[in-house]
Amino acid sequence: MSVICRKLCSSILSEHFGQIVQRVAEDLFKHDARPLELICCTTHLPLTKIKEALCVLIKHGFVVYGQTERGLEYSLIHQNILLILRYPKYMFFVKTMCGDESEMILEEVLMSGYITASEVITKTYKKIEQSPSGLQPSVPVLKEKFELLVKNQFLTRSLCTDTVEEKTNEKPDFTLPDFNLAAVIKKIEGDNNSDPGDSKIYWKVNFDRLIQDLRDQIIVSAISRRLDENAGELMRQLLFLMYLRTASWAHTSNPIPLTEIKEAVKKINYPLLAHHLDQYLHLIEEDSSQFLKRVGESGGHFCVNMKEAFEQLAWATLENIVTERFGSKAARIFRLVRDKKYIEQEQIQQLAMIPAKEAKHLTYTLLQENYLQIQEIKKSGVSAAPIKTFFLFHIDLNLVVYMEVQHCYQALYNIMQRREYEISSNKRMIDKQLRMQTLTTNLKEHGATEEQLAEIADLMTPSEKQQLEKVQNTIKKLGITELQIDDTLFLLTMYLRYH
Amino acid sequence: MAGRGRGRGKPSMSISTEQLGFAKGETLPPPVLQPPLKYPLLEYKPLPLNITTELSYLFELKKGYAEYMRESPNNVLPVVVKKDIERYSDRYQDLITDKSSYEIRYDWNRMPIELKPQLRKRKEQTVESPKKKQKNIDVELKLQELEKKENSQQSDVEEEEKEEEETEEKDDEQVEEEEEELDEEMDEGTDYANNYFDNGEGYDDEDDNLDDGPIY
Repeated sequence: MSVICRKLCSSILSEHFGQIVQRVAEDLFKHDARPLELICCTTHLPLTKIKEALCVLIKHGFVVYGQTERGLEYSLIHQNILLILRYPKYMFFVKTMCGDESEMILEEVLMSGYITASEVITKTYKKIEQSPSGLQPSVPVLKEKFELLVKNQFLTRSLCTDTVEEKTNEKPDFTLPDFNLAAVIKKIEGDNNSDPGDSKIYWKVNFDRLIQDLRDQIIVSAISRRLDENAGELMRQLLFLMYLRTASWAHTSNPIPLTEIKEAVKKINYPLLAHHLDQYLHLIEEDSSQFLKRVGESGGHFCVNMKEAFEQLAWATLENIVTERFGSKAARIFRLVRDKKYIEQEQIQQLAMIPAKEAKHLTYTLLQENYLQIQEIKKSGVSAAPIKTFFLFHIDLNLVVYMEVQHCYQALYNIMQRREYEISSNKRMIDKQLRMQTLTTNLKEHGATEEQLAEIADLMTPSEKQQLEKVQNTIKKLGITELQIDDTLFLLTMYLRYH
Repeated sequence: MAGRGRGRGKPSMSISTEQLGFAKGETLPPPVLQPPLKYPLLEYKPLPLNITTELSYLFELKKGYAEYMRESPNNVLPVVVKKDIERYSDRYQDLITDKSSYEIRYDWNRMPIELKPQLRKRKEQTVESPKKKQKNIDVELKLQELEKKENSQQSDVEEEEKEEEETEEKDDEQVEEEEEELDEEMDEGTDYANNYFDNGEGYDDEDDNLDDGPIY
């Protein structure tokens, strides 16, 4: 993988796990699979620390190990590190699907990599107890929520497998755990000896499922933005029907009969949609995005075309990027080249209706930035002079998407560096504010007077307060930008996955 | 132009200026003599950032997660080199930071055993026992020699021999001390004073140690 991807991964790790884990992972990134001794040799870290770091990495699923003839070897799965960027989105998604408690349970699982059911329930219970949200913690409810998460396949069993080969073959296991509820309650009350009876059954987050859900969200929101809410809901139902009959990452769904779509729509409360179902289906089918295809002679079956859908979405994203970077005229040229597949310079300026000089300038800028590719066709038997050659512009979508993915990595890395810089250059002030906060909360608990609290608040001068606010705003903005770039990154990686 | 005058009727440059969109007689842009700016001026301003409540919430989640992970034991802390003097606050710092080994946090049924921080004890037993025997033999020999010396008259030659033996013994001891230090480095608790710079020379030693160590 590229250098920038490595840099991004290591900056993500250093933000979450600190320097040592970062250095060990970076070493694995550079050298692929290697045994413990070699890591020790190149990183110059104490052996115990390397072991500890590897434990953390293995537990969170970033490193796998396998027995080879050279001994036990460790290798990094960098895609999983990039998933950390999307953790908040998974949590939010689960929150909207299954409620607040489920979100907290998922968060706990994400925090520990894998964990037993009883432990996660204990931890979540304590967290709810301490949080000021006003939720009432209750073990049976939490157990219910946990089971709901498993039923929705957001959590899966983390099985104990030793080698890499076995890991790829393992089937997700969703059998519910059987543990002693009373023992969990006892444990929460402080009895450390009670055994809930699931000590070896670990659970982890099923990212595959969550990725599919986010993918579906993109499709549904694309349709509802293009047409309207009703069409979006229809698309959601179609995707739901698709799950019933198709393998999870298939390019197109197996044909869905119209009668089933009708029944599914009847069950949900969208009267307008039920009334105009045929028209809506027709609209989605006729739409240039081609998410839906009518199949069969009678026309009673529909296919959801995921591959095509993501190609269209990727095109739309690239067009937007070109518009934002080079202006609307460049986007016009980009669209034109896309439309004509292969096109000559002369034709571009004629069809795009842009003055010759400007059209050339824009075309060459796009070429230079690799948004366009050039294909030479020589007349046979004539000398190689450029005047006798046709230069055809075209777009290699895979290439451009791959480049854009790299740009996303770069942007994310830059933003993270900037954020680190903002934090470290204002560290003194941020620390001071933190100390003041703890002091005030402590004093409040002890029943301090208003005067005392005001005195502490005065410790920070108005200019400092202003500066602090500015810094925090910047950090927040940078963080949100990161989340938004990740949206683009997700869409583009989905495209690459299907193509 | 270098190409001028070469051949007949062929264009002087491989691409004529007209092809690039310049009319005849129009001045070409001056040659670029400087590297481009490090931060080029943006021709098109980026879109304004729209902060919705959803995004703010996502940001809070992100921040919370990152902060928790940083403060959790998942953040492997470097070995702290002890500062010049002991400070009063150090005592409390010790109470705050969790000094327990990472061993208890993992289920070793599902982790590679070689990552378990227990290699030291086994190695001590296996490596040091033959050493001790050797040492005993040395002592016995020495006693015998001493007896001989008491019996026989001291001569200069013998004295020299004795000195040689002594230096040899000292060397032995030094080697042993070094090995002990190595052992200590493997341990977590006792390594504050050590400086962890490894120039790679000692790599072979450690490699050997590891091969000896784990018994599966």
